[in-house]
Amino acid sequence: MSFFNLKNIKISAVASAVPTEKVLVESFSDRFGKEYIEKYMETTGVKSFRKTKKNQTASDLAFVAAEHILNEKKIDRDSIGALIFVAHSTDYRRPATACVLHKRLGLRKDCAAFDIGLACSAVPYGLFTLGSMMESSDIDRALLLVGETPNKITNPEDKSSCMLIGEGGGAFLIDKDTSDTAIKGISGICKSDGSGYRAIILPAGGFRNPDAPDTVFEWMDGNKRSLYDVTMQGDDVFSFTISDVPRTIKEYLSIINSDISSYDCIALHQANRLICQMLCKKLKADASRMPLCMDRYGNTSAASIPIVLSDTYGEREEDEIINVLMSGFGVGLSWGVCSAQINVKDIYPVIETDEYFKEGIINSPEDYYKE
Amino acid sequence: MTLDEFVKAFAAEFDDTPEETFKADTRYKELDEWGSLIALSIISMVDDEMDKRVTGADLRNCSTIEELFNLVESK
Repeated sequence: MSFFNLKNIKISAVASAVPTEKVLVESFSDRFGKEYIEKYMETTGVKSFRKTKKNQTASDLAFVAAEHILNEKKIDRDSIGALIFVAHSTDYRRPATACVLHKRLGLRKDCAAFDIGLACSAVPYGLFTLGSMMESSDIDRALLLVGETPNKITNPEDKSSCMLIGEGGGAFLIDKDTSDTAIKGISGICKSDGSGYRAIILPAGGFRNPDAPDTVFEWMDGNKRSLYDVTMQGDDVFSFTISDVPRTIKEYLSIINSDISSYDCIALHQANRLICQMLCKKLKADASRMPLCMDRYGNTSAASIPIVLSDTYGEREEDEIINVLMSGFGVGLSWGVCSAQINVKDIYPVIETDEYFKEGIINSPEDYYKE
Repeated sequence: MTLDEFVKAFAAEFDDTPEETFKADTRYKELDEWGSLIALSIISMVDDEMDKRVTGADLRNCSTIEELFNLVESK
């Protein structure tokens, strides 16, 4: 069992950021045919998504979200004892992107900073890891940052993915609270099924396939991709999602002796509309409590939970504590569910930004020594 | 669920292919309308109606609707 219960940990703020460029799924009609696009939008629910500038990365989006929280909440940066960045879309092969974010956010050296290599399941895994670290250390405050830029690794001829995925980043401010307040405690379950490691995979660019050619192949599903593009076996991901994910959520609810109807918000990874609707049905959840935002942002992988929270509650300025159930699932295969109470006032609206870390661009030795 | 019912349920997931096209020995991947989106509908239909899990590989490995039905039944 991989059940966790962090009694003294709470989410004190949530923010998210997306790039300004909006890509309309309709604009793919010339490439894939109008009829296909209409069916595609109907099934996936994606009508448009955001796309980063060439040098803008997932960490830039997470950075903007984190800065917003630190500034709005007037947080003393020296109080941040840990920073975890959960993403596959890293800035470099090394160092950890969390270290670059640590510098950019101006955090002190007494701060544990590292990356976790997960994407769609980022939020439950990130909360589990960071919260457990805090419970067993003297760290009282930390940042969980997430982000993904899947457009950069998707072949534009791959109609299984190129219109589904959007780019975004998110930030959670996490506090340890040993007082007797109503709003604390995060519990959940994290699971994996490594037998599905190929279900969503980018085969080249790591260390396993140093000889991978950059040839664009036609794959069995009729799509064109190189080994440097992400390959998704959509039907396998789908069948995993509609069976393992609801089973895990039900298992979790039974462990904590709770019921789906006790949540004000069910913030699911915005995989696609069909998947979310299937999950809603299987969980016998009230669809009005399961917000969807993939119509405007697409499937933003790691960032989809903070984005859907921002999209739903960002404009709310009154105090209201909501019970939130969050579930992320996908590449790995890796999935998790967790719940927390959040004050809607602490959830900020989605920020649009094209800001990027110019200093981080190193295309020549001159660029490297410039710093 | 009987084979006949399965063929009917299978056919119901298609919008453009006439129902009478579907027989137990229909090679579904050769239908014009077959594609990744229909595959998802079939997976969710089997999940809904039979509470069984069909994988992408199952859909690739079977040729006819009957083969798929037998495979699902054996799970």
